[in-house]
Amino acid sequence: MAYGNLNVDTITGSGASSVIVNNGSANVCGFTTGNNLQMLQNGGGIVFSNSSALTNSTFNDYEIGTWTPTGSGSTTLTVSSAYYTKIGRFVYAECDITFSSQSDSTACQIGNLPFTANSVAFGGASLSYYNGANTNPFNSSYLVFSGQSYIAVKLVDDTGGNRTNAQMSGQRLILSITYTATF
Amino acid sequence: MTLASTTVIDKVEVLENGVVQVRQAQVITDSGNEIARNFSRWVLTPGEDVSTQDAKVKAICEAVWTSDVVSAYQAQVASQAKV
Repeated sequence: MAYGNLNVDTITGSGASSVIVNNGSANVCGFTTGNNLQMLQNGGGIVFSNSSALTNSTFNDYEIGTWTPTGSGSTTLTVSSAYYTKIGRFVYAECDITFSSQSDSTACQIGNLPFTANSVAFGGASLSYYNGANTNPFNSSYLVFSGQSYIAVKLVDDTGGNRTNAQMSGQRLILSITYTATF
Repeated sequence: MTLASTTVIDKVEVLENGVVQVRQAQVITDSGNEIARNFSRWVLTPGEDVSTQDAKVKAICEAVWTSDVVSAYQAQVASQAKV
Protein backbone atom coordinates (compact mmCIF):
# COMPACT_ATOMS: atom_id res chain seq x y z
CA MET A 1 0.00 0.00 0.00
CA ALA A 2 1.34 3.41 -1.02
CA TYR A 3 1.10 6.25 1.47
CA GLY A 4 0.62 9.95 0.80
CA ASN A 5 1.64 12.94 2.85
CA LEU A 6 0.01 15.34 5.26
CA ASN A 7 1.83 18.64 4.87
CA VAL A 8 1.63 21.60 7.24
CA ASP A 9 2.71 24.58 5.22
CA THR A 10 2.40 28.31 4.62
CA ILE A 11 0.70 29.52 1.46
CA THR A 12 3.17 31.64 -0.45
CA GLY A 13 2.45 35.33 -0.16
CA SER A 14 -0.64 35.07 2.01
CA GLY A 15 0.97 34.51 5.38
CA ALA A 16 -1.78 31.99 6.12
CA SER A 17 -0.97 28.54 7.41
CA SER A 18 -2.38 25.55 5.61
CA VAL A 19 -2.73 21.82 6.09
CA ILE A 20 -2.54 19.96 2.81
CA VAL A 21 -3.25 16.30 2.06
CA ASN A 22 -1.05 14.98 -0.71
CA ASN A 23 -1.77 11.55 -2.19
CA GLY A 24 1.83 10.99 -3.20
CA SER A 25 1.58 12.71 -6.56
CA ALA A 26 -0.67 15.74 -6.07
CA ASN A 27 -2.31 17.92 -3.43
CA VAL A 28 -5.90 16.69 -3.16
CA CYS A 29 -7.46 18.71 -0.35
CA GLY A 30 -6.61 20.81 2.64
CA PHE A 31 -7.45 23.62 4.99
CA THR A 32 -6.29 26.65 3.03
CA THR A 33 -6.81 30.41 2.90
CA GLY A 34 -9.41 31.62 5.36
CA ASN A 35 -9.38 28.23 7.12
CA ASN A 36 -11.60 26.76 4.42
CA LEU A 37 -11.67 23.07 3.63
CA GLN A 38 -10.84 23.10 -0.05
CA MET A 39 -10.85 20.37 -2.72
CA LEU A 40 -7.75 21.04 -4.79
CA GLN A 41 -8.44 18.76 -7.76
CA ASN A 42 -11.04 19.51 -10.44
CA GLY A 43 -14.13 17.38 -9.80
CA GLY A 44 -13.11 16.48 -6.27
CA GLY A 45 -15.94 16.50 -3.75
CA ILE A 46 -17.53 14.94 -0.74
CA VAL A 47 -18.85 11.42 -1.27
CA PHE A 48 -21.93 10.27 0.59
CA SER A 49 -21.79 6.49 0.44
CA ASN A 50 -25.48 6.02 -0.24
CA SER A 51 -25.32 4.95 -3.85
CA SER A 52 -23.34 2.46 -5.89
CA ALA A 53 -23.01 5.13 -8.58
CA LEU A 54 -20.32 7.56 -7.44
CA THR A 55 -21.67 10.43 -9.52
CA ASN A 56 -25.04 10.10 -7.80
CA SER A 57 -23.63 10.68 -4.34
CA THR A 58 -20.75 13.12 -4.79
CA PHE A 59 -21.24 16.72 -3.73
CA ASN A 60 -18.67 18.58 -5.77
CA ASP A 61 -19.83 22.11 -6.42
CA TYR A 62 -21.13 25.24 -4.77
CA GLU A 63 -21.04 28.62 -6.45
CA ILE A 64 -22.85 31.93 -6.38
CA GLY A 65 -22.63 34.75 -8.89
CA THR A 66 -24.41 36.96 -11.38
CA TRP A 67 -25.70 36.41 -14.90
CA THR A 68 -27.01 38.59 -17.72
CA PRO A 69 -30.45 37.66 -19.12
CA THR A 70 -30.93 38.39 -22.82
CA GLY A 71 -34.01 38.68 -25.02
CA SER A 72 -34.75 36.93 -28.31
CA GLY A 73 -35.30 38.49 -31.73
CA SER A 74 -35.12 42.28 -31.57
CA THR A 75 -36.10 42.39 -27.91
CA THR A 76 -33.70 43.79 -25.37
CA LEU A 77 -34.01 43.43 -21.64
CA THR A 78 -33.36 45.95 -18.93
CA VAL A 79 -31.85 43.93 -16.10
CA SER A 80 -32.30 45.24 -12.57
CA SER A 81 -30.78 42.16 -10.94
CA ALA A 82 -29.82 38.61 -11.87
CA TYR A 83 -28.17 36.21 -9.44
CA TYR A 84 -27.58 32.48 -9.27
CA THR A 85 -26.70 29.85 -6.71
CA LYS A 86 -25.49 26.40 -7.76
CA ILE A 87 -25.52 23.59 -5.20
CA GLY A 88 -24.23 20.37 -6.67
CA ARG A 89 -25.97 20.33 -10.03
CA PHE A 90 -29.07 22.13 -8.73
CA VAL A 91 -29.32 25.70 -10.03
CA TYR A 92 -31.46 28.40 -8.50
CA ALA A 93 -31.46 31.70 -10.36
CA GLU A 94 -33.50 34.85 -10.14
CA CYS A 95 -33.90 37.88 -12.33
CA ASP A 96 -35.70 41.20 -12.33
CA ILE A 97 -36.13 42.19 -15.98
CA THR A 98 -38.16 44.54 -18.16
CA PHE A 99 -38.84 43.78 -21.82
CA SER A 100 -38.27 46.54 -24.33
CA SER A 101 -41.30 48.03 -26.06
CA GLN A 102 -41.60 46.49 -29.51
CA SER A 103 -43.91 44.63 -31.90
CA ASP A 104 -41.59 41.71 -32.59
CA SER A 105 -43.47 38.48 -33.37
CA THR A 106 -40.49 36.26 -32.52
CA ALA A 107 -41.04 33.57 -29.88
CA CYS A 108 -40.27 35.07 -26.50
CA GLN A 109 -37.22 33.63 -24.78
CA ILE A 110 -35.08 34.68 -21.85
CA GLY A 111 -31.58 33.55 -22.67
CA ASN A 112 -28.08 33.32 -21.33
CA LEU A 113 -28.82 31.30 -18.22
CA PRO A 114 -25.66 30.84 -16.12
CA PHE A 115 -25.49 27.08 -16.78
CA THR A 116 -26.82 24.79 -19.49
CA ALA A 117 -29.68 22.60 -18.31
CA ASN A 118 -28.98 18.88 -18.29
CA SER A 119 -30.16 16.93 -21.30
CA VAL A 120 -32.71 14.68 -19.62
CA ALA A 121 -34.90 16.98 -17.56
CA PHE A 122 -36.87 20.18 -17.97
CA GLY A 123 -36.74 23.04 -15.51
CA GLY A 124 -38.98 25.98 -14.98
CA ALA A 125 -39.52 29.39 -13.50
CA SER A 126 -42.22 30.84 -11.34
CA LEU A 127 -43.44 34.39 -11.65
CA SER A 128 -42.87 36.21 -8.38
CA TYR A 129 -44.00 39.60 -9.61
CA TYR A 130 -45.09 41.36 -12.76
CA ASN A 131 -46.00 44.89 -13.64
CA GLY A 132 -47.32 45.81 -17.04
CA ALA A 133 -50.23 46.75 -19.22
CA ASN A 134 -51.65 43.24 -19.62
CA THR A 135 -51.82 39.85 -17.92
CA ASN A 136 -49.73 37.98 -20.49
CA PRO A 137 -46.86 37.30 -18.05
CA PHE A 138 -49.32 35.82 -15.56
CA ASN A 139 -50.96 33.66 -18.24
CA SER A 140 -47.69 32.09 -19.33
CA SER A 141 -45.54 29.17 -18.36
CA TYR A 142 -41.77 29.46 -18.21
CA LEU A 143 -39.93 26.40 -19.44
CA VAL A 144 -36.19 25.72 -19.20
CA PHE A 145 -35.50 23.36 -22.09
CA SER A 146 -33.37 20.31 -21.42
CA GLY A 147 -29.89 20.72 -22.83
CA GLN A 148 -30.39 24.45 -23.44
CA SER A 149 -29.61 27.68 -21.65
CA TYR A 150 -32.78 29.70 -22.11
CA ILE A 151 -36.30 29.99 -20.78
CA ALA A 152 -39.12 29.61 -23.33
CA VAL A 153 -42.21 31.64 -22.52
CA LYS A 154 -45.22 29.52 -23.40
CA LEU A 155 -48.92 30.08 -23.75
CA VAL A 156 -51.14 28.48 -21.15
CA ASP A 157 -53.78 27.05 -23.46
CA ASP A 158 -54.57 23.96 -25.47
CA THR A 159 -51.79 24.69 -27.97
CA GLY A 160 -48.83 25.15 -25.65
CA GLY A 161 -47.46 27.48 -28.29
CA ASN A 162 -44.96 30.26 -27.91
CA ARG A 163 -45.78 33.63 -26.52
CA THR A 164 -44.36 36.39 -28.73
CA ASN A 165 -42.09 39.21 -27.73
CA ALA A 166 -44.80 41.67 -28.75
CA GLN A 167 -47.11 40.17 -26.14
CA MET A 168 -44.48 40.79 -23.45
CA SER A 169 -43.63 44.29 -24.66
CA GLY A 170 -42.82 46.66 -21.82
CA GLN A 171 -43.58 44.11 -19.10
CA ARG A 172 -41.53 43.87 -15.93
CA LEU A 173 -41.03 40.39 -14.46
CA ILE A 174 -39.32 38.96 -11.40
CA LEU A 175 -38.68 35.25 -11.93
CA SER A 176 -37.49 32.47 -9.63
CA ILE A 177 -35.84 29.84 -11.80
CA THR A 178 -34.91 26.27 -10.89
CA TYR A 179 -33.32 23.53 -12.98
CA THR A 180 -30.52 21.01 -12.93
CA ALA A 181 -27.26 21.56 -14.76
CA THR A 182 -25.18 18.97 -16.57
CA PHE A 183 -22.79 18.42 -13.66
CA MET B 1 -3.35 48.44 2.46
CA THR B 2 -3.58 48.58 -1.31
CA LEU B 3 -6.82 47.38 -2.83
CA ALA B 4 -6.94 46.32 -6.45
CA SER B 5 -9.53 44.72 -8.70
CA THR B 6 -8.86 42.61 -11.76
CA THR B 7 -11.20 40.70 -14.05
CA VAL B 8 -10.23 37.33 -15.49
CA ILE B 9 -11.88 34.46 -17.33
CA ASP B 10 -11.12 31.78 -14.77
CA LYS B 11 -13.12 28.82 -16.07
CA VAL B 12 -14.23 27.61 -19.50
CA GLU B 13 -16.26 24.42 -19.71
CA VAL B 14 -17.09 22.60 -22.95
CA LEU B 15 -20.18 20.38 -22.79
CA GLU B 16 -20.88 17.25 -24.81
CA ASN B 17 -23.09 19.07 -27.33
CA GLY B 18 -20.51 21.82 -27.90
CA VAL B 19 -22.05 24.41 -25.61
CA VAL B 20 -19.36 26.48 -23.89
CA GLN B 21 -19.88 27.75 -20.34
CA VAL B 22 -17.75 30.73 -19.33
CA ARG B 23 -17.04 32.02 -15.85
CA GLN B 24 -15.55 35.45 -15.26
CA ALA B 25 -14.06 36.33 -11.90
CA GLN B 26 -13.57 39.74 -10.39
CA VAL B 27 -10.63 39.29 -8.04
CA ILE B 28 -10.15 41.79 -5.21
CA THR B 29 -6.70 41.89 -3.66
CA ASP B 30 -5.23 43.68 -0.68
CA SER B 31 -1.49 44.27 -1.07
CA GLY B 32 -1.38 41.38 -3.50
CA ASN B 33 -3.34 38.95 -1.33
CA GLU B 34 -6.73 37.84 -2.63
CA ILE B 35 -9.53 38.81 -0.25
CA ALA B 36 -12.60 38.30 -2.44
CA ARG B 37 -13.63 36.72 -5.74
CA ASN B 38 -16.99 37.40 -7.40
CA PHE B 39 -18.28 35.32 -10.29
CA SER B 40 -20.35 36.12 -13.36
CA ARG B 41 -21.38 33.48 -15.91
CA TRP B 42 -22.70 33.12 -19.42
CA VAL B 43 -23.23 30.36 -21.97
CA LEU B 44 -22.22 30.30 -25.64
CA THR B 45 -24.03 28.00 -28.04
CA PRO B 46 -22.51 26.43 -31.19
CA GLY B 47 -22.60 28.85 -34.11
CA GLU B 48 -23.08 31.94 -31.96
CA ASP B 49 -21.13 35.11 -32.73
CA VAL B 50 -18.11 35.14 -30.42
CA SER B 51 -16.27 38.08 -31.97
CA THR B 52 -16.61 40.14 -28.78
CA GLN B 53 -15.49 37.36 -26.45
CA ASP B 54 -12.15 37.09 -24.67
CA ALA B 55 -9.46 35.78 -27.05
CA LYS B 56 -9.05 32.57 -25.06
CA VAL B 57 -12.79 31.87 -25.14
CA LYS B 58 -13.01 32.74 -28.82
CA ALA B 59 -10.18 30.33 -29.67
CA ILE B 60 -11.83 27.49 -27.77
CA CYS B 61 -15.20 28.08 -29.44
CA GLU B 62 -13.66 28.18 -32.89
CA ALA B 63 -11.80 24.95 -32.21
CA VAL B 64 -14.81 23.10 -30.85
CA TRP B 65 -17.52 24.38 -33.17
CA THR B 66 -16.93 22.34 -36.29
CA SER B 67 -19.69 22.36 -38.89
CA ASP B 68 -20.82 18.94 -37.62
CA VAL B 69 -21.10 20.21 -34.04
CA VAL B 70 -23.07 23.28 -35.11
CA SER B 71 -25.42 21.19 -37.29
CA ALA B 72 -26.05 18.68 -34.50
CA TYR B 73 -26.78 21.45 -32.03
CA GLN B 74 -29.19 23.20 -34.40
CA ALA B 75 -30.99 19.89 -34.97
CA GLN B 76 -31.29 19.43 -31.20
CA VAL B 77 -32.80 22.89 -30.80
CA ALA B 78 -35.20 22.35 -33.70
CA SER B 79 -36.45 19.09 -32.22
CA GLN B 80 -37.12 20.74 -28.86
CA ALA B 81 -38.95 23.67 -30.38
CA LYS B 82 -41.89 21.33 -30.92
CA VAL B 83 -42.41 20.85 -27.18
